[in-house]
Amino acid sequence: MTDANDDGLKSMTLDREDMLDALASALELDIDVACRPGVLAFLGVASRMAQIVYSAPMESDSVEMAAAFRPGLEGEA
Amino acid sequence: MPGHELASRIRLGEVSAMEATRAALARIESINPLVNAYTDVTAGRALAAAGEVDRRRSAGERLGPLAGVGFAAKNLFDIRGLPTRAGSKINRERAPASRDAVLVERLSAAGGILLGGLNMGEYAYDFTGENAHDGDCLNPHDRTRMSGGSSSGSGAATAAGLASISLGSDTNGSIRVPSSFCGIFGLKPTYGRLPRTRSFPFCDSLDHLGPLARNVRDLALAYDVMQGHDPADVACAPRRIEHVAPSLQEGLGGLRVAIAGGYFETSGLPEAQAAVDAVAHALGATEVAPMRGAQEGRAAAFLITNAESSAFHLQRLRDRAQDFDPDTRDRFLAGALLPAAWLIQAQRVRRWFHDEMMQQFASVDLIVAPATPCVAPKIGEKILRFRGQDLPLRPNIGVFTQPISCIGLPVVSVPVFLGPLPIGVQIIAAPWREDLCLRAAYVLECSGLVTSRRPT
Repeated sequence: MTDANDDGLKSMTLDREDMLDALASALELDIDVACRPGVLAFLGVASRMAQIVYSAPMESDSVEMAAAFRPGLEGEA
Repeated sequence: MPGHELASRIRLGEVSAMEATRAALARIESINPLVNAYTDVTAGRALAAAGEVDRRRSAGERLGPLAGVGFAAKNLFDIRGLPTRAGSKINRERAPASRDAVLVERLSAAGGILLGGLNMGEYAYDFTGENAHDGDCLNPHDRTRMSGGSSSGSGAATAAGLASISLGSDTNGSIRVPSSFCGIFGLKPTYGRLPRTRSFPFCDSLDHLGPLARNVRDLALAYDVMQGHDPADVACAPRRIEHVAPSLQEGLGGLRVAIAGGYFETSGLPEAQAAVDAVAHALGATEVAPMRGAQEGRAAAFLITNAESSAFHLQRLRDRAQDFDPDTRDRFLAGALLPAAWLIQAQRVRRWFHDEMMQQFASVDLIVAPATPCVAPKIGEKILRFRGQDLPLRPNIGVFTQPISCIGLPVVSVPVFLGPLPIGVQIIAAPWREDLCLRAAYVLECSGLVTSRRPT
């Protein structure tokens, strides 16, 4: 089962203000001060969604993802 | 008049396509200012196409199943000669499209008459029908209420009789929400069924295209003529065409129908509960499907949408964030900042929830669930009262549609009028079984329980 202390969850303990400043800087994304409350609110929603996806009772030794990449041109056997 | 009946009358020569198209354009001119569904009306092109239908008929040539039937497309579909604005200010600086989207081409090849492009929420990130650039799209049944989004113009134009059929897109519910609020039928096919070629993307992993209509037969006819693989869309599955119109009248014939339980439980949501109960009763549903994993699936869809769409728009967010609609801008900005691990976990959950639901479909053919938690809210409303809690409205209108599109299941939203305002109910099937959804919708329509109504 998924470990509740997965690495992905640790980032949720970051203060959202810090998260915004650090990642916006890394992405060269200038977030206007007037947008900050809205962006922080949506980061809060996303954090709650992240908590939910980390609560799914999946096997911890598998990383099967939804997207599957199929190389080669269509029609090739 | 239903689109398929109009096409029959045109084939028989009882009405000309030109007469029908002139009447449709006149109706748009008089009614559209009330609901703001169209952003572009392609009158010249429509009249030329109608003339061609009439010429073909006079020449004894075969006419398509939608001959002379007016349709319109959400303005994220390429329409030759127009910039594909996708509800945004920024995109209207794009060069005019040189070729129609594949689905517009296919409807046109079937004799459909393109009447124009339709209003939508900016870059499809919307459930309300509000748009800061083009103005809000209003609900034809009550113009103080939301049309629903993001295929707002598709819902409003179809409900108001400004198009027999419209094209929409659905990433998290954007066909089913306006279908619910505007009281029409909407089909979100299986992920990968209909090609998205030459449409402006929102979130490639979850984007679906599909039709909206005022009756099931028009919905089925439109869907049938749009089927077929197109290699230019990498997500389009190389499946054979499986026409649904011929099987519409087969009835339920032993189909096992269940009510969605668990996450989809409707207690505390009186409008959704009444509509689901009525539809479930009419379809003979007694079992309850537990829908294990739906909450996690919904969260996965939220994160995938937020991260992927924001990455797609990153350069636009860097260069001109102030040109975005304020209601979408902050969500896109937040989505650009999400840790990669969250996205990977969301993709794992999508796979897991899919596998859980496939187990349920071993013992059930159709699942009935609410499309929206309530009827259309008032325009400008920000709070959704949901099971005794006050939640932000925008992200939660799609609470019941989002888990279904997360795993690409085919679904028809059917309209139930329990009062002056409609609400939709989702009829959900296993992947590639659009035929079952439409058969059940047709049974419900014939029973009189679900029907679109002309706004008063």
